[in-house]
Amino acid sequence: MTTLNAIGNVSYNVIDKWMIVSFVELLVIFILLFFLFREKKKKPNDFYVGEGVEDFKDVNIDFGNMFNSMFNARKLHSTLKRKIHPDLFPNDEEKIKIANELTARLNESQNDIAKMREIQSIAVEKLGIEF
Amino acid sequence: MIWNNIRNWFSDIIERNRFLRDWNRNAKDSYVSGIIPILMEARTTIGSTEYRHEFSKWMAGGFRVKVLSGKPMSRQELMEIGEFIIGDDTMVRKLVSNGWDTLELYDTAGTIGLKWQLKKYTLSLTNHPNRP
Repeated sequence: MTTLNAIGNVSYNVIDKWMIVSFVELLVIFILLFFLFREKKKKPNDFYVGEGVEDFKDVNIDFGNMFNSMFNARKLHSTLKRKIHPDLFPNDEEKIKIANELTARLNESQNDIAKMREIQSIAVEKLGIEF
Repeated sequence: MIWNNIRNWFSDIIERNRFLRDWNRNAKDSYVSGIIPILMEARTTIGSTEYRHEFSKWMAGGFRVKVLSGKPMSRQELMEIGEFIIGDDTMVRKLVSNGWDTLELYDTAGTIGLKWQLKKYTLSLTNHPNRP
């Protein structure tokens, strides 16, 4: 804000309006930072933190296998399910045992194509199945 | 205390960006090599406020997967993709621990968009009395 005195000199007030604006902006920034970094009150029974939800931050995910499984696992699962069924080996106790184990493993890993490939290779090797 | 919070905030951002970059790179490689028939791209969105949990990042809780297939996808096809992601325990926990709370899925050609509450699927993995 400027004023003109009797002599004609221009004098400036010490407090400029832009300084006030910058102070207000600084205040707003501090308030926002306060809300951003304040300690959040934990609500009991709201969310289960245990069982290592936080620990999963460092777990690496095999994305290639995941995408492959997303579209191709179902087909391989149905093929394996049909081929390694224990009823296909009625006279061989050893093969029935292996087929039972493989079927159990197959049910656990029906969304993981890498594990199913392992089962497939075991089936080829031990049960003599051709795919 | 504030310094630690700021440092954690930056490390979380780096971790989230690394996760998104890995996802997009692998999705692109899988599509180019013909392993998967559609191209998927992930990015962060605001998410749904009603799906928030205590690890949610402010204004960045949505994990949106954009699907490019060249044709409008049916609700069933999108559901299958979403349920595969939701069915992966490690993936859900990783998403939750990195501050995402909503999984959003939509395709570029159609008009259908689906979303899932990640917290719900994490609770279902535990023996907590509040699980759905």
